[in-house]
Amino acid sequence: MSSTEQGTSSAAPAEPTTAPESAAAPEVPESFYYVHGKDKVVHKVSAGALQHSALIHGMISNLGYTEEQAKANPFPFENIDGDILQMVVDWCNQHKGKPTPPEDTNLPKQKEKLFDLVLAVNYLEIKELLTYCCKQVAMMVKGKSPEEIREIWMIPTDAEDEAAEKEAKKRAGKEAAGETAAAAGDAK
Amino acid sequence: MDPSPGLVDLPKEVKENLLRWCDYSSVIALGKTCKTWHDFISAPDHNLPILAITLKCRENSHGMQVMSTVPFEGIMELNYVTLEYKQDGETSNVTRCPDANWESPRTTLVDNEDCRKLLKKDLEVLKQLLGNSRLMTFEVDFDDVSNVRCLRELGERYHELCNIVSGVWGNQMIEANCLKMKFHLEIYADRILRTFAPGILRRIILSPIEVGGFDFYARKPLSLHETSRMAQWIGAKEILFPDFKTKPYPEKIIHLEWVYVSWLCFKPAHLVKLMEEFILLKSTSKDFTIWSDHIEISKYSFSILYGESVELQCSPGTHIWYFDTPSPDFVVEFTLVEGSNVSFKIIMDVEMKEGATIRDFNRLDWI
Repeated sequence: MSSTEQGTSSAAPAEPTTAPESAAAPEVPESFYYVHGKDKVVHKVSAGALQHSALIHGMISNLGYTEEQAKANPFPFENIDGDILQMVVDWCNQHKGKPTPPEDTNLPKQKEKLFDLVLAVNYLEIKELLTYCCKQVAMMVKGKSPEEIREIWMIPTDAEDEAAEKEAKKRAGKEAAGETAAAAGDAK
Repeated sequence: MDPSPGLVDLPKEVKENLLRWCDYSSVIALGKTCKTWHDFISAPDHNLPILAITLKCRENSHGMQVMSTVPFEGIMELNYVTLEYKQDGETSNVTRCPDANWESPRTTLVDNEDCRKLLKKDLEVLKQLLGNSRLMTFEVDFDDVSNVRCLRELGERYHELCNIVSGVWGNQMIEANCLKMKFHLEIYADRILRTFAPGILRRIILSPIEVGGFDFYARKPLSLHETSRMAQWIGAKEILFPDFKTKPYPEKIIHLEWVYVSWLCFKPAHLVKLMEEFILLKSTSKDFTIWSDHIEISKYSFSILYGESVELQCSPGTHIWYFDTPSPDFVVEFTLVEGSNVSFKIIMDVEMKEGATIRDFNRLDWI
């Protein structure tokens, strides 16, 4: 996390205080962009690191922001938890301009975190990291029985699923009936 | 993000990516977790490749092995899903012993039910469980065939099994059929190969028991002798001798038009015997190539005795010498590719490279 600047932000993003240090300073000054997740903590990330994300890379290319504009308008990813976004940013920084190794052993071992990371990475379209995550999930599935997989990954059985669906339908029916009754009452 | 994550909720692309890294046991297990995953795996657009399905046919048992490779931590790991059927000789009952993830219950007794019918059923189940997958190799392993009385029956069994799998999988979805068996006697190999139609085998794998080799310590000679009758083998594109060097069986190599051997360590002493075989034309193999990680023969040592080699300009590190044979007009072309392989070929002397000299093999005593 050394290269990520954090701060809190509400409407306007917090002012990042220091720029991430590059091991080898490039001759051309590197441009930086800002992203924040659900927790509004702003992360300063170099354009090089962000190239891993096809989504952000596309946004950058389309917007053509200057440094000032980028600072004033961090990319909001409200659907991604702050700590997950932090992980993603760290990964992008670590692998900036480097060929990605065949394995990545620094992925979270807790399934909730891994799952959120998978969704975030898929959303941000970071192909290599998604592959690592999927390998990790496959590793966690390996050697497990269907029951164990169901339990670990909270997959409802078909019976449970059907029951939940029926329940949901019933509830929706009741709500609809309630609304109709309320509407009728209002009309009176 | 959803506070209670579930694998069911993953987007399609992620599920597909995940399946790529799952061994078949996991794919099957995932398919059994819920309808959503089952339907997803069964969808026709994933096209998961199956490395091989092997049917192991023994006298009173059949076994099915589904093999996949999943790379983890830089290593290609082999994964198997297995299923076995054991037939009781007296009662004809079949005991079905599936892998943990295949089907439950794990062991079922089926009265008088033919193993092959069960196999067909299970192949259909497997096809459903693994979706629309491409089958790279379908292999029938008859193991030791020396006890088989009727070879024609064996041939029919092989064809029947091929028909079963192609009926379930579809011919266009199977890349190759493969037959595996062990021979103790050449005569068996000959008869069996006469029974099977030529050209149906793409790859022949001979395990160490059937071939000659060098004992690590005793250095028993390798014989490439005779058996040129087996014309059926000529169509084979590739012959593999796994762990060739590790077993000390000084038996004869079955004749093949082309032989490719992977040798653990190829020493000058090995060369003597091979040269004798080739140059005296005891061997009827026309081309014999040995691949090895350690070829202990150098261009330098060979040149001292036999003079300069012919070097191929187009392929640096490739040196060729020619040796006389008792047959007029024929020579043995010995090729050394430094650090990689040695090979012998019997060729017409007119095919020799320009400027090459024919040597006398007797001077090989030096080794």
